[in-house]
Amino acid sequence: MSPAKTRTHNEDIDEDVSSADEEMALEGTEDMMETEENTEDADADAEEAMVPADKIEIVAGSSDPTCMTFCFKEEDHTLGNSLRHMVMKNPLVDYCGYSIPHPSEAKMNVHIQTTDATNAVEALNKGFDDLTDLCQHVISKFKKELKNGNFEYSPEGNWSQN
Amino acid sequence: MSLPEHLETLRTRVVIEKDSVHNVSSSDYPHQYPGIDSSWNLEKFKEQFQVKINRLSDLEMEFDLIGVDASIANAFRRILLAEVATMAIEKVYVMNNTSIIQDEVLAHRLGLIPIKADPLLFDFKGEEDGPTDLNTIVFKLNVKCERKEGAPKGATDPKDLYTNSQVLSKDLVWEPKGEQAERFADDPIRPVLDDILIAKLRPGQEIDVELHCHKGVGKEHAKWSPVATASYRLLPEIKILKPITGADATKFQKCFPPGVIDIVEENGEKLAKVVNARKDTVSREVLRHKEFEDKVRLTRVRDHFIFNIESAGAIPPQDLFVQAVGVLIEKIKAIKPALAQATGESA
Repeated sequence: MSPAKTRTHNEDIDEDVSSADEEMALEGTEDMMETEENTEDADADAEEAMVPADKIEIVAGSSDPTCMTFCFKEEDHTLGNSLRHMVMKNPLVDYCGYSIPHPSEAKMNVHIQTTDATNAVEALNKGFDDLTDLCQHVISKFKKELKNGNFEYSPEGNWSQN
Repeated sequence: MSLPEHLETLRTRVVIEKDSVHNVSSSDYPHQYPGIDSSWNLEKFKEQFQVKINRLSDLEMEFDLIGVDASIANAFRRILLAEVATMAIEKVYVMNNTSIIQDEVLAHRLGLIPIKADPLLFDFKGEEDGPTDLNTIVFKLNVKCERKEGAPKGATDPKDLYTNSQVLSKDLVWEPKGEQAERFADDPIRPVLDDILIAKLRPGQEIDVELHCHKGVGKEHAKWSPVATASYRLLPEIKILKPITGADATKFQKCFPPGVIDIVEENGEKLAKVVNARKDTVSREVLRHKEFEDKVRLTRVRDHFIFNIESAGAIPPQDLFVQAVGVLIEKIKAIKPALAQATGESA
């Protein structure tokens, strides 16, 4: 795949993200979820301001843009493994792995090696976007299913054993 | 194009043998299987992904998450345990404590009491921040044990003999600060449960403390964990490869929990049939018997997660899951600018 093609691909993804946002916003206008989402957004703004500048560091190595290691501070398997999975789902990526070099240091390394059609930073960004898309869909699907009410409900938890 | 059966098993099932479990990690990545495009595709994911809620109560829920990888399901589980914020007692100011429980033990016990307050309505309190009505909830606990006048003669139960022989979570008195009384008028802040034993007192002993609750997450201290448990298991699958009949069928049925295997009459003969593999505990008892060798195959469906969430009481279980996934989204949102900064690009 040519680099130009990759770029179009990324634009597609951006469009998807915005459409997913709209979907969420539409859902949010109904019932109690609205207030909850608003506060979540407020939290996000506060958090964004709090993220230190050295949250991600590029681990020194070769100057090859298709082969890089990123060091995430204050992250663990939660982001490491799910991000690794999403990056590996990218067909332009040759290799992706993560490690936590030492258990008493709150650091997590992600190594990405790509084909010439893209580069490690681009692949990492696509990984972030894809993971966000996935999560947004999981939330909307879960809420839809809750609204359907097609399940056994008992306030006390006395469910029938089937 | 579909894969040959053994490759399809490799791709979609965890195989359970008598003495080992193999084929555990997922291999469904691009260029892995001929004719199968495993690359990420949101539209395809939307088609395949399913959520099935099985049961819900005020504190507990079970649901199926179908079509996601273990790394994603595990991220949700880990966030539920360690990164969804709640409120918990963090500061204990001891005015007086003459009980036999030492100050520090008392403070620890108080910290573990689940507090019923919506954490989304509060801010995290930074190291430098002073307490405000937006980041701190204040409780007072002031109890004194005294002899009861007119206690029945010969009574031995401390409850009959003394007042406040037990200090319970219901003795915590919420002190609304600033606009809190207004904001929480509909749902006053209180401990989730009223009958948590904090300390025992005897006549003359007294506890007088002021408690400050802060917002926090489970990875800092388990008292902030919003769940009692959050776990998943993979859907079990039992495949009978060759018919199991007669007395063997009964024996086969007994290898599984009740309700997993049914025995049907077919041509005047008993025949074992799988009716509900979901109820199987995958004890592998069946694999211990020679007569069932090569007749049964136990597997688990690799992308079918049976999720169980038990809330500690502050947040209803259905909201917990939504918040957990939200935490992951926010995490990424916050990191992206940092990546742009690190690589010297504009976001």
